[in-house]
Amino acid sequence: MQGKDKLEKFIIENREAFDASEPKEDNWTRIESQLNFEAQPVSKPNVGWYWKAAVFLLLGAVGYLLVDRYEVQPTNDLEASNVEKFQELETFYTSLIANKKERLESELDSEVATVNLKVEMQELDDIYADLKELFLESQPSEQVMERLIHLLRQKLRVMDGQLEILEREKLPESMQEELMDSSI
Amino acid sequence: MYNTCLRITGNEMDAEDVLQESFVSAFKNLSSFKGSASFGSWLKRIVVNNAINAVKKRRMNFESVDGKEDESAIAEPVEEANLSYDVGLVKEGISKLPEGYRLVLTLYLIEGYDHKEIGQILDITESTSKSQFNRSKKKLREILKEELKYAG
Repeated sequence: MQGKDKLEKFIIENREAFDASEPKEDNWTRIESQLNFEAQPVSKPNVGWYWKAAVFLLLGAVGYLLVDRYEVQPTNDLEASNVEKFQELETFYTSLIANKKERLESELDSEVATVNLKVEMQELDDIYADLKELFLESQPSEQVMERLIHLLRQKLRVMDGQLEILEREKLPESMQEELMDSSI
Repeated sequence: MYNTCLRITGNEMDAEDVLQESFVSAFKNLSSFKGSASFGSWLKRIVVNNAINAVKKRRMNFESVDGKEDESAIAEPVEEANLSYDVGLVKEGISKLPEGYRLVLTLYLIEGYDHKEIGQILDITESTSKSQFNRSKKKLREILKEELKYAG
């Protein structure tokens, strides 16, 4: 805030108050119609699932949740097979993630690096949890499943990157330089 | 996100179109999210870029200024110290700014981008962003002064 005048300070300090407008409700309906999900047979009223689709995108940005608590069980074979396939993949990837997490926790000695990594992981976990809820409750489509798996892979990539840095730091300086040169 | 769209485009209809286009394209391109920035920043950048494109279609102009900015535009007027601002009034004032001024001012003060980032977003130089910002602040002060005069 140093060097900022009164008007600048006023706007910056009141940023949230400048976010008071709401879009019309039918805007979410229009978004839903373009997301092109397969039509889902519903056993209970499916009002508002499009809020969930929009909200999962909003999560990382605005940090609030709008989750309807109702359950719609997959009613056809394709959906059931998607759920089964997803559960297998989730078990596979979460075991890989747990392994890497254990390695990272034992090797990370800087508190700042640990906190940064945890924040990043939490962000991915939050998005993942909401998308998973959407998948299991109302949208067990392949499209959503692919995005869930993409998020798990993303988490693995972040951990791999961190492990690679840690491995490199263990090498003697001359070898580190060689590695840098070869990567260029 | 909607408020960001609204501030950049300046009207509800464009803001809703941009929000819709951005969410749909973000969802369809989720696989391109590499995790180098936070998810929120990634999504916001899509929204901001789409909103800017909508505004560009209306032909936005920036005055390119190199070198030092006129000091009178930067300095805080003495009488400002006595003014008491109000969010509604400032919002109204911002909405009355010319398009180029409004964009730089809101991207800097409300969306929190720095001048380098604004330069990249708007495809202008960092110094143009800075000078545009100073001019927009000066213009906003003039508008607010008028509004406060009428508000008594």
